[in-house]
Amino acid sequence: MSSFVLGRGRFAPIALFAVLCSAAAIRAEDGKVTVSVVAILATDQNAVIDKKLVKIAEEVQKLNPKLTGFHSPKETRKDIAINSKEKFELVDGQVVTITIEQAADAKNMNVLRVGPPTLGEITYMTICGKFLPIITEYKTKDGDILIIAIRVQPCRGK
Amino acid sequence: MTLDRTNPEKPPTPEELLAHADGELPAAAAEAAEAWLRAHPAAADDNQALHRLTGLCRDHAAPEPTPAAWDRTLQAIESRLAAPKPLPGRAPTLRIVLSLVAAAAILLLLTRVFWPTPLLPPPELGTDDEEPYAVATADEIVIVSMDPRNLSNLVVGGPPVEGELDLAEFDEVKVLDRKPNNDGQVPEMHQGGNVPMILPTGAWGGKED
Repeated sequence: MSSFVLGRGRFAPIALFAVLCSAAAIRAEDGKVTVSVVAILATDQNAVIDKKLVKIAEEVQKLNPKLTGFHSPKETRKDIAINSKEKFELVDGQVVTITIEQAADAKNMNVLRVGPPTLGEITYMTICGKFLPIITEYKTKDGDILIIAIRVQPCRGK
Repeated sequence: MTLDRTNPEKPPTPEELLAHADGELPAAAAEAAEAWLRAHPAAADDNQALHRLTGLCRDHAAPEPTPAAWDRTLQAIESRLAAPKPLPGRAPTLRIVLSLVAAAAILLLLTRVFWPTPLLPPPELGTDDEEPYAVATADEIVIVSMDPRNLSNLVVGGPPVEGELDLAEFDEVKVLDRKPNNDGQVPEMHQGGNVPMILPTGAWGGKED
């Protein structure tokens, strides 16, 4: 590559641009990204809401006001390699599979392929550092509804 | 090797027992020595002492000359090498000097090998300036997964997710592809609230097929 870039002057800008684009899509240090997954159980049996779940509770309650209690039985953070499929345990043996197809690009957008319990697979692009909630149809034996929130880090330049 | 497996009563020599304690005997000889030791429990104390000795030898390295001593030796050799070569008629003097240097080198080597190792005092526990069981600092611990309700029991480190969940905005999420599960369930992007959420089809306001 270096001989190509240096040896043929008119192609140098193109080659340099390609190198910069590929570098932008991969975390500089080790090619891994940090994925955080929060398992959330929503219930109509109490009105206790964990502090860190206040925002998400407000949004879910707009769709289903009967859900008054929100708590997180498990939160997980893993460093995973690009394009490797990783399982995150939730509750009752349920898992969500996550594949990072693209780490933060120049606009800090990541591409994830997610396989949540009871739902089909979904691939989406999202900003780094923020959570996207996924409501599943899984219910615990107590009737609590399983919600997942997923975040990818780091953002470029942080 | 004098261990005689055809004569189990023939005792191994002290050198063989020492080699056995040091793990240096070949497998067959070690097996013969162990058989002899099993048949002669009276030798157990001596054998245990040999194991202690070899353990001490392994755990305590022989004293090394200081770097300054090495430097002085090197300087001395270099100064001799840099000195004017003796005249042909003085060859016997050169031989004497070389002999002395060789003798000094041999003496140094022997000193290093056979210098008695000072026994280290047993470590003292419970002193004020020593920490018998060092506790990791927060920087050395990564909590991969936990029930956040147990946060108050966490002695070192932080939870996997700190603070309130910051939710993505609509212009920060874009669905690229969706696939149905075995029941035909296709996840939908909910657009009605203040933030995007993924929902099951046909429920929670999701679109019916």
